[in-house]
Amino acid sequence: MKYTNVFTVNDLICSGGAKAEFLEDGERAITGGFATDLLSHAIGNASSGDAWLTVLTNPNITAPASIADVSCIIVCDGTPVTDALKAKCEVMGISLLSSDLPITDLSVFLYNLQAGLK
Amino acid sequence: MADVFKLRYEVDGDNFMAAGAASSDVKKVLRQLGIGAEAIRKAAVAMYEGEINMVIHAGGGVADITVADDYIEIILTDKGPGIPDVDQAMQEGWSTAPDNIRALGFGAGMGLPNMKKYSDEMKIDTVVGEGTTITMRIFI
Repeated sequence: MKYTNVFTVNDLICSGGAKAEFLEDGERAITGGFATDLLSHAIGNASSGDAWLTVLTNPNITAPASIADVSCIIVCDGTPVTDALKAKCEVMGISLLSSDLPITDLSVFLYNLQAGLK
Repeated sequence: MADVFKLRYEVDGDNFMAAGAASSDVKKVLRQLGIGAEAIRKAAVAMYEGEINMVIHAGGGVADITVADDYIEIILTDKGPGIPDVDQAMQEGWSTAPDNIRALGFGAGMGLPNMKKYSDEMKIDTVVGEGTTITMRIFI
């Protein structure tokens, strides 16, 4: 979904909703959110600027993230982030965050975060 | 008429972790050529899905990209098993990918539908037991 109010990757980290695993551009705006664990679903439907919420952690997720031009990948539900994924995100220039919240909870968190902005 | 720009990628069917690298590179090159963002997105998505299909189903292949004045053409050629029923393969959700591939987030049965959705023209030439050639054009 597209957010009415825009916040940055750094804003999300400061809010405590997610922590940084690798930051390419902390000031990049998060303009919406998209949640899926299917790569073709993400590449075909996520919008530029979206935060991509997933529990996938294999490095193959970086190509769809790059092509869809998401603002960041957020690995949810306390899923351990692998060094291989971090390394690939650094090479591809994609910000990678992680969160202990399940995908649905983080979706609500993101919505409330932007709704609270004036 | 401006120069026609050509690219060729050998897609390695054995290196699963590199799948998608050619598409990411195409996106970068198209941006350097000054192509518009919408056409880049369409070409990169169409190319990505084709590249992944060649890795999962055909043991790799070749991707030829041509950038002309008014279109981007992507020709994907493989010597894989071919597609027995193209109409069935075009149905969203239909997939023959094995479980270990699906566990990585692939095999959603959205590859060919995405290629059709994101290209302006698409042609599939396939012979069972010989291979498949898919030609896609995105108008600039």
